[in-house]
Amino acid sequence: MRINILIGGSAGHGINTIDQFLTRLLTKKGFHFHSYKDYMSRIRGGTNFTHVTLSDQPVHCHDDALDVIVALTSEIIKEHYDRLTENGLIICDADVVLPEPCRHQVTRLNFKEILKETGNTKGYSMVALGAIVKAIGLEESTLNHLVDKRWTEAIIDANTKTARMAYEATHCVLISIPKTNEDHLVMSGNQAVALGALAAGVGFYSAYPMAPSTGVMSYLTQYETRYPLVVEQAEDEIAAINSIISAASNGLRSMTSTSGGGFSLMVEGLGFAAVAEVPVVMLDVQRPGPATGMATRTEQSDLNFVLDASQGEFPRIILSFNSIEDAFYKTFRAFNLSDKYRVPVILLSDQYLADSTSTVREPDLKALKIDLHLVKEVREDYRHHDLRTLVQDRVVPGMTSQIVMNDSHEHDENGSVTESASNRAAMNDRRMSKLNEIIKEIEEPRLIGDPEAKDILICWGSTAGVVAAAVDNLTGQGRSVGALIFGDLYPLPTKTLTKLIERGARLINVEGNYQGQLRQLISRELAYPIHHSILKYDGRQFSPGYILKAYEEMIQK
Amino acid sequence: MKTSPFDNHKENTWCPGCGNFGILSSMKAAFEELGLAPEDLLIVSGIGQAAKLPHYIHANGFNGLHGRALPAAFGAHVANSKLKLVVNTGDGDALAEGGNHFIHAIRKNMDITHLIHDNQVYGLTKGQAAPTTPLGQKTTLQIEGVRVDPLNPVTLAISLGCSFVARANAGDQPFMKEILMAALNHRGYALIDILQPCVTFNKVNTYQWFKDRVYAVPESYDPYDKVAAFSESLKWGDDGIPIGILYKEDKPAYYDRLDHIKTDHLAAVERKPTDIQPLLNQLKF
Repeated sequence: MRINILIGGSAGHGINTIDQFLTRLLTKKGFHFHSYKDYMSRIRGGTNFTHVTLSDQPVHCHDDALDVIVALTSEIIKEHYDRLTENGLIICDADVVLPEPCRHQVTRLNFKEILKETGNTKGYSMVALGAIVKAIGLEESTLNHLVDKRWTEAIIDANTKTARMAYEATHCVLISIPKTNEDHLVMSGNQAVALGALAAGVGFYSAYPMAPSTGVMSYLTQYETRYPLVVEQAEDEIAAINSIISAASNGLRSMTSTSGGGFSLMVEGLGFAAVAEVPVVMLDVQRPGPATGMATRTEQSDLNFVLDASQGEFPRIILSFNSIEDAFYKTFRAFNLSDKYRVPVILLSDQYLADSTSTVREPDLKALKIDLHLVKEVREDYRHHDLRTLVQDRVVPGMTSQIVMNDSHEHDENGSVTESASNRAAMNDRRMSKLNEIIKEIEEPRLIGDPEAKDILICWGSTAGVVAAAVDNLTGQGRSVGALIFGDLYPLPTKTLTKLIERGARLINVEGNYQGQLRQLISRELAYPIHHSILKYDGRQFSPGYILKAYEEMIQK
Repeated sequence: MKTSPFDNHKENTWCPGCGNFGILSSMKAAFEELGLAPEDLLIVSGIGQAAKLPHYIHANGFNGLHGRALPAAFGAHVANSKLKLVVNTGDGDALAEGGNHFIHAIRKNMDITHLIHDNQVYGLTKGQAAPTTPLGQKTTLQIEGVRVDPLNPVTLAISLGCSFVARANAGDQPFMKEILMAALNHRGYALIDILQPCVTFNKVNTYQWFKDRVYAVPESYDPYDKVAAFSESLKWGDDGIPIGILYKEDKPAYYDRLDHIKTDHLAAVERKPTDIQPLLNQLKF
């Protein structure tokens, strides 16, 4: 059972504040939720909304149908009214224009009047919160939790009073909402990455601000003093990648994040890290490209780019996030993989996941282990790029009296420049062969729904949540369908996929891009063509309904 | 020939007579005189003839990408501020491909010594103009002469408030060694613009050309006077070329600005996943 609430207005209406406090109250009451923000790349005006989906089960995406619309402007009604369910509710400001005739329950609140009466001129969001809490059937005492450590007693009083007045004035209430009482954490996609990195012991983080990745840096910088950590805003992305490569070559776990445009500037550095065998973790929070594209929108179109970014041939690991919780674990794991194999790890997130917030099961930190793979004592026979082995601990300057050379040229086992043909071939073999070891630690995609179904949807990254919701829906209708969800992307895990191909399953890739980039990767690795695709590249995330409709159309052909 | 603990006996590909040999010798002599060991040092470079230097010295080395030596030095400094960081770049590495980093690295005042091997020409790519090539000078690419104004690294650094700005002449090793030692002892960004003859591609700015023009700034010179230093730095060519410590400014070095970092070796800090439990607790409501 899921309830969907859409709250929208202009930038400056405090939509973020409503979202922040509503999700806190929901967590307090033990609900699971997922919340995503749809905002324009501007500071004031425009149309912004937040979409909160609450449930008694973990939630990883929004739904198409809405149970409650909270409209602070007429545009919100115009854009979303058609999505309101039969029993859905509208809560709106006094001057919002509704369709004639309006067949739904409506609570019209005069926001300005309420604020005048409570003397709380800045409490727009509190009116909305009071109304929503009533509409979803929570008791009035829930509003007692409207507190924040930045607020004075007077502000708390004024806000609570305002919310209570809106609560009293709201008369429409949803008939049934799920009941639950579980403890969990609340985090955003970007926060999950930051926490995963901190758990992994990141000591240096350098990046240039770029939506939608900046949230990682903003979160980390608050905890610089505690860990201790240096967060530096670089002069450009080239500086960011080069400084983290160097810090990592000195034994400090280091990371950078950006979106596609910034990643483009980091590309030469990516190859450098790989040839010098320096472990780095790079996060690409995808947004629609090319060039500036759409800063605050989502897409999954950088897979091809990061697969082949940088000249020459070298090993790399690419992991995508299937959920916010997954972002935490994948980021943690990225550091261990990178240090063990001395290869760059690229993490693929996207705007939808990065800017979404959800409840997350509390990670068991005791079960996680940091492994730096550093040499702690002088080793007489140490070779920095040892041709006798693929996986080796490394020497870093200043940890022992041993000296070391890190080089961007082709080099010999000790990092000295050489153009020797035999050395070049041997070094290339050494680097590329690491992929054969790495694949042993790559996780197979998760098969959900009916594993024996004829139709198997294939997806990666944040599309996982929506595809899972679509599969649930079809299963609920008694239909047989499965989905294969890829998190680890490169080197491509092929065991499960091969079994599906061998039993003749019909594979349908669902991706937020034009080309079907995972489909292309599968074709490249297995020489197997996938003939059916459900694609979306309008800058917005899939919804389960979109997938269901496209699927029905496809099978009817 | 005298041996040094910093010799590494690798094959050297600089042209015979290159000014880089003098820079390398002075550097080894300065390290030795300061009592530094190979493991105390990290020699950072980008790409170019100057940037080959880390391969010709027995010490920790980081030979990164063209133009990116300064961001690399920064990362190393964050990870381990105990390392004595010496950055070797050419004029193209520091001022063309790396120009943006040069500006912002100076703003950080990280504790490094940065040597610009300033031969006013591109050696590795065979004779094109550098940002420091004089207006009108003919090169293998600018065959009718350079059309754009030269950049004066010393003037630029002074204007940015670089905390130690000096110039040395590769033809005068004892003087260069003294400057190097002062730079290595400076806490903060120490820049040395080294006038370095390129015997292959620059037939104008030769050893003799520099010898006839350089003069050491007098004892009475006050390197803390920014306006006077700016003015002095503009002198060039037949008017004489000042060498020595041209500018100094007392300001906190990068690590001194990190009040929260209580160690000089951040990479050696022990970290555990359970350290983040307090942050997870903050996410419970």
